[in-house]
Amino acid sequence: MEAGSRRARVLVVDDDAPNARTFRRVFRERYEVLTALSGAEALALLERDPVDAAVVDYSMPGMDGLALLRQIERRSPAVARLLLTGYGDLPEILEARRTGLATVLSKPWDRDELELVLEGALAAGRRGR
Amino acid sequence: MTAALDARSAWASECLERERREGLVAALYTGLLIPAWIPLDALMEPARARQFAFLRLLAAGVSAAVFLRLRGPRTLAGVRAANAANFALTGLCVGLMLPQVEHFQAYVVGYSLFLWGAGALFTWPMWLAAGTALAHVSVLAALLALSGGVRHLDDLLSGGFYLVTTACMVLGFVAARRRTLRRAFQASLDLAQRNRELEATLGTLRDTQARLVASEKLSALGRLLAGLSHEINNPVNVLQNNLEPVRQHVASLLDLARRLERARPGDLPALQARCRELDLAFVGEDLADATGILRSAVDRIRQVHRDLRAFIRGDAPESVVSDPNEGLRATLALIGRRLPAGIRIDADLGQVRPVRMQPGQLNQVWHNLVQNAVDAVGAGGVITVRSRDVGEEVEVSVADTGPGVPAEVLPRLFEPFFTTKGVGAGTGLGLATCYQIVERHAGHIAVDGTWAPGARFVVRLPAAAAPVSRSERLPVP
Repeated sequence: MEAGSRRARVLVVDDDAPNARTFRRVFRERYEVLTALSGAEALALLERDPVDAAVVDYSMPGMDGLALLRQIERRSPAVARLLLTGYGDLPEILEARRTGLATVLSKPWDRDELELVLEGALAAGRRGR
Repeated sequence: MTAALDARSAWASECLERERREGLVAALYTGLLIPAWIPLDALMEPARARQFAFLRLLAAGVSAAVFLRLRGPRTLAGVRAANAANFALTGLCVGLMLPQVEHFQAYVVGYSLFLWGAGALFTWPMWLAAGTALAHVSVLAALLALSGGVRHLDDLLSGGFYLVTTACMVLGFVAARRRTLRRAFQASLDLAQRNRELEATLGTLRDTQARLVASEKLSALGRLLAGLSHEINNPVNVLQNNLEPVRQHVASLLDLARRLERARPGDLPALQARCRELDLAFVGEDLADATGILRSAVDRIRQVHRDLRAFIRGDAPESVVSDPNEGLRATLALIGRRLPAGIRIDADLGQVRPVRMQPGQLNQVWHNLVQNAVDAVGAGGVITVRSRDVGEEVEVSVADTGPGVPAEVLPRLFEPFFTTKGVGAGTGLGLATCYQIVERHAGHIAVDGTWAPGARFVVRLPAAAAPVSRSERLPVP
């Protein structure tokens, strides 16, 4: 973490509450973690609190992770976007990876790997601002 | 039976075409050759020339009528009747002259030449028959030109006729035989060739089918595993990533406990400060939460395992007598975990009689039908799975509120490789496989044509002969 800068604010969206809580527990010292259990909840939360990164589960009822990331990209393009999924080789996910909609990580995630990828995405976001 | 009928009708249509063609040529032949003899009548039988000319023109008229008749619409019987009429009536006309002639031999020769030529028409190639007829006419003409009078004409005619026709017959028979044999040989060669091609095609088809059946199994299994993998992914993620925070908490608490063990009364403020630093209330809550979700993650994995075991139970080749509802419940449990929001499954499983079955195979049927229903309702709808006893059978039905099965698709629904899903989305073997499995269980599967809106698949399986339920097998206390 850069000295003097505030902790990055990360929004985790997962319909599986234990998963969201796990993320918060693992990264609470490193990031300010906000959680949402659905795409709609995440969008409402984003209206109030701007974040630096969104870590989104792909498979969710209602709005899936890709649809949510597209909305986030449109509303706040500077937010770093990560997609967590068990189906990394689905055509729409490969497409999202190719077009730069999201950095894709497979589930179950590994703490160090996720942190590395998230830091990269945050750094890219900061450069873009 | 069908093949025999087909062969008969094919043969009839082949005969019709050939006999009509032959009849046309024969009518042309009789219609031209019989009146062509009129000048000879004038030479040999001048006294009866007019009467003979009338008979010959009458015969030509019959042939002309037959010729016209054969060109119109026809049946095999009609063609045969016209051909028979042609020969009978023209033959009669010529036959009426025979008793009256003085040059009997010449007329017999001419008459037999005529019949012989007609026969040749039906057995020989066209060019050979025409050539023979032409040779006969030219021999006749030559003899007439050479002979001084008509006194010995009949002797000359018969001699010339036999010489020419002997040579023609030898040539004709050799040619006809060669032609027939060659045709038969060519036909059998073509058949053998086609047979070989068919065998090769059949082999390719069998290979393709085997591969596709395997891929259907894989695709069904693949969907199942994708669902399970997601189901297991989340709890595994919880297990994997909560252990380290728990370990850190325990390590700090252990460290605190060791310091306490070695502590003197004066160390108390430092220890208390350390406790405040750790925020014991937070650590307690966090540990409770972490261990709680760890425990629920383990429970979820155990449940997935239990459902999976129930689903694949008895995937052995031997059949058992069992309650079909067990497999239905296992299947619904599996599919229910990955059900998209907006889709509801109503299970209405009644008390049913046991069925002799291979549970693993029947589960494949249930899985296919329910998964198809889930695909059919799309974004939202209700799927109703019902089981009932109907007479001596157990009926299982899967109904959905989707768009239903279009009428034009119904007859092909259970055909292998038939699919209405897009290319790559379905192998077209799901329902075909269901059909085969249900058939092997001596049951039947159908679409309820009266059901609307949506589709309803009905499977009926014969109830086991000796109804042995699980409770009845238990010893009575």
